[in-house]
Amino acid sequence: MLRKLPSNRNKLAEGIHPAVGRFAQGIEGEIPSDEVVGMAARITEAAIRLTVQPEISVDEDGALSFDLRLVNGLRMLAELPAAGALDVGIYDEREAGQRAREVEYLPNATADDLIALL
Amino acid sequence: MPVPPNDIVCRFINPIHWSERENQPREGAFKQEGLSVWHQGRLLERHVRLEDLLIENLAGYGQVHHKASDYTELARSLAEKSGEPFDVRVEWRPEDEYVPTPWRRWNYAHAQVEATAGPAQFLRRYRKLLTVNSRVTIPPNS
Repeated sequence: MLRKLPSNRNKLAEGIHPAVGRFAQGIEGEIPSDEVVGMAARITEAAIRLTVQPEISVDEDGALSFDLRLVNGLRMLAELPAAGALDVGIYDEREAGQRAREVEYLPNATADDLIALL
Repeated sequence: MPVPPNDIVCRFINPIHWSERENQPREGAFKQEGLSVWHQGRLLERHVRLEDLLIENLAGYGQVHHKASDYTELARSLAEKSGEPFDVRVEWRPEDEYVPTPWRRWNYAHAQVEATAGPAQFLRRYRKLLTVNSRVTIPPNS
């Protein structure tokens, strides 16, 4: 069950990470629902706790992007648009001179799916 | 007209899309439907450096270089993996609608990476592949 944020959600989101605060505000009238902001908050908290130097940012279209280096050396790229369709890719870049390999790709992931992969 | 597959093209990267940890672009750097790229060889033939194009709102941008074939082969690998059609082309695009005024004098070196077939949602997966397969990169403000 996703956590619901109260009405002062944008302030609380900002406290979790500045990017989550910006994401919660939305852009061009596209404002994520409380459920999607709750999803962003959960993923961000887990990324901060479980990965080193997580890079979390908001793109020009308002989506929240995660660029994470997992403890097993793989790289995770995930994107959460305001509409909530989370996608997650995991990549192995460790073979020098070779193309990075897509290890896993989840086009319609949940926050739990992503957190389980951290 | 397609850009020859072994030629190197450069995409300029906004500093907000630069990963300090990886010293590489982030996914957001590839988040347009058509990606504007510049042909390194054509510029060098006329003694122009890629850095010379970093003017106006491109000032301070970084660079990521790919072979033109990287763009098409990554699309092909995605199509093979998914079993659905997905095709990308790297085409010359010198027209004014693709090249804004300050850069128009270099339009002979401008190309565009465009998806020509396949479901729109593939673009999300594709740009992740581009991100992790960035070749030579030059950080912003360097």
